[in-house]
Amino acid sequence: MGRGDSLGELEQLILVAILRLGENAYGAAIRKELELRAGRNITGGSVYATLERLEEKRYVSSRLGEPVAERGGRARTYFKVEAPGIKALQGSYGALKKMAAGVKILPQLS
Amino acid sequence: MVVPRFTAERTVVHRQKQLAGLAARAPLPECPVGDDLDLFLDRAQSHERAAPLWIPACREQPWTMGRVMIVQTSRAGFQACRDQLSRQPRAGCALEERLVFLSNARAPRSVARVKMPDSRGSQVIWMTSQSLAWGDALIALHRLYIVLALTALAFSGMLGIVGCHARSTYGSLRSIRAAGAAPPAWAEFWLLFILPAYAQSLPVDCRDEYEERLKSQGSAQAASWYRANVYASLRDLFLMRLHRFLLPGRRAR
Repeated sequence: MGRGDSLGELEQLILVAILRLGENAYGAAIRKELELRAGRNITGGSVYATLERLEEKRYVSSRLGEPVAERGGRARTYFKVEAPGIKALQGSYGALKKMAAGVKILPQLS
Repeated sequence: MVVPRFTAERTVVHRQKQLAGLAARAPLPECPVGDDLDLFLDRAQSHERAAPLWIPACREQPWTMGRVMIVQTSRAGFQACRDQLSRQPRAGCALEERLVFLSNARAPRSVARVKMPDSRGSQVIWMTSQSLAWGDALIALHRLYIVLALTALAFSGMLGIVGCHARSTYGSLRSIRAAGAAPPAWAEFWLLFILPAYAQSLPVDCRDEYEERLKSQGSAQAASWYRANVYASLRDLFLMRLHRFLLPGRRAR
C-alpha cells in the first residue's frame, strides 16, 4: 500500500458506515450512522468531501437515485464500497490490530 | 513590462504636442535672472484646478540697444560680472544658461519648464500648471494604473459571474422550496450557492434530516440544526469547489 493509499480515520469510519448501510448508503444515512455509532457529529459537507476523496481513490463508487419532485428534482446519491476500498480497509484494520495486540490499556480487536 | 513604458511615452509626446500649439498672451512679467528666476518660477505655479497643462510664466526681455552686454553661462560668472559692472551705466551682464527641465528632478512629481521663442522673437518660459510625473515615475504611475484597471476588470468580471450564479441559485431555491417543509432560507441559499457538483445530493440529505427533526424536535430545533449543519459545511464545500477549480483534470461525476 502506497503512502497515498493509506486511510485516514474519517475515511475508515465512512467506509465501515457504507458497508453497514448496504444498499441504503446515502449522505444523510452515512452521517447519522457516524453520529449514532461512532459519536461523531460530522457535517454533511465533511461527509461529501471525504466521499469524493474515496471515490477518486476508487475505494467507493456512487450512483444517483431517482429524482425527487419535492426536492426540486434532485436525487439522492448512493455509495458502495469497491474491492480496492475493502482491501485498503482490511489493511488499515489489520495494521491497527497488530499494533494494538498486547497493549493492555486498549480493547483487543477481534 | 512594455505596456506602461509605451503609454508613458505616448503621454509625454501628447504633453509636448500641447506645448507646440500654444501662444503666449502679450503682457507677461519680465523673467528675473540668476537665483531670482528659480524663486519666481516656484511662486508662479498655478493653483487653479482647471488650469491648462502649460502656462506662460514670464518673458525674457530683449537687450537694451546701445549697451554693451557681457554674456555669462554660469551663475557664479554672472554674479561676478554684476558686482564688477554695478557702476557702469553703458554695460550690463546677461546670463544665458540652459533651463533645467524639471524643477525638482528627485521628487516623484515635478513642475516642468521649457523656454520657447514666441511670435515676437523673445523667449517665453512655459511651465506646467501642476506637478506631474515624468520619466521612470511616469512609467511606474502608468504601471499602477494598468494594474488597477486590470484588477477592476477582473473584479467586475468575477462579480458578474457571481451575480449570474446567485441568480441561478435563487431559481433552484425557488423550485426546491415550492413543495415540502421550508428550512431557513438563507442557509439553504448559501448551501445551493456554494454547492460543488459532487455534493449535489447534499441539499436533499439536509432536507430529509430537517424534516425528520421537524417532526421529532419541533421547528426551532430543526431550523437551528439545519443552520449549524449548513454553515459548518460551507468551508468543506468551498474547498471542494476550489480543489476542482485548481485541478480541473480530476474526475468529475
